[in-house]
Amino acid sequence: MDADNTVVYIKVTGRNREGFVEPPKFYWDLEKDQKLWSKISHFGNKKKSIDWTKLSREFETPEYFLRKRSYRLFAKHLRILEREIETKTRGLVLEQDTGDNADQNDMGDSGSDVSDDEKQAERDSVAPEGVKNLRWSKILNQRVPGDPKATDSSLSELSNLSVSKSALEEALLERLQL
Amino acid sequence: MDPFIITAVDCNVKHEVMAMNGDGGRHPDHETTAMTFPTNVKYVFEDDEDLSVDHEDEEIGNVVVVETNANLEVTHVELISDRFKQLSWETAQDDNQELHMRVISRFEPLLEADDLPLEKLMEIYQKRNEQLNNLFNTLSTT
Repeated sequence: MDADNTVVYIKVTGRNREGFVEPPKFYWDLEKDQKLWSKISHFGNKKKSIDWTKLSREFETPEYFLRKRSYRLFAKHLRILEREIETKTRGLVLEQDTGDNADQNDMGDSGSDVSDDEKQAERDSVAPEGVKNLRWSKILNQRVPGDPKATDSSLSELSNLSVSKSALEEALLERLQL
Repeated sequence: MDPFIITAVDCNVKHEVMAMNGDGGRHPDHETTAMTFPTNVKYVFEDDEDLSVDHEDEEIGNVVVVETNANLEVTHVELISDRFKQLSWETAQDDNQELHMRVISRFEPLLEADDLPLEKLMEIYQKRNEQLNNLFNTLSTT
């Protein structure tokens, strides 16, 4: 289904043409789509802005289509990245859970003669240090040895990416002037 | 008013086989070779008097009729074609004027079937069954 063998009629009910000019017929296929992506995916590395007029001439395609298509490609690309981050985050959580279980087993074996009250007191005394380590680990983006919350900090960093992603999408819309 | 953008994905399982044999996967919007772009779009407004639907010079085999309300929200989509059957349609969540259609083309024998592992063949068999079910459902509702 392309521009040669398919025609689309858009029937707009309750609205007059009001000077709307129909866009010209043009041809777009996967090959062009791939080419567009290979061009715009480098956007931001060296070039500060996209020359839509030049791209429009090059692809023999109206600017509105290139802009919307570019936005859609970027948005989907971000979604793919988001899924990858989620998968990796889940992997980290699993690793952490496995590590915690192993630690608990070790503690259970060696500290069987320590009472629950003593264990709680020990945890309370260590807590402020743990919080400090957590802050530092957030700043340094590193896992602090012996601090089980360190992974949580990297997880929160990762979850913050979804916020950044939305901000990025908004910024992208602005740059693409959509 | 912005012009509409329409994409159509052919859900025929043959595209998955083609993509598997190709070097795909680098493009964010189509893991398969199944996406097409019907970019020959004509608009019909309330005050249009003479509508020409003469396509004798062109090799038009598929006609898509999209109905919208005054706010340009799509209310109905119909595909008239001998080669494709429409399965479903939706507009983008963030753009009413971006229409995405799922269609299915004719089933064809899979030429590459001999080279496929049994696991993949079973997957294809399962998908074709699902597609037949989908088709059956769309036929029973029309």
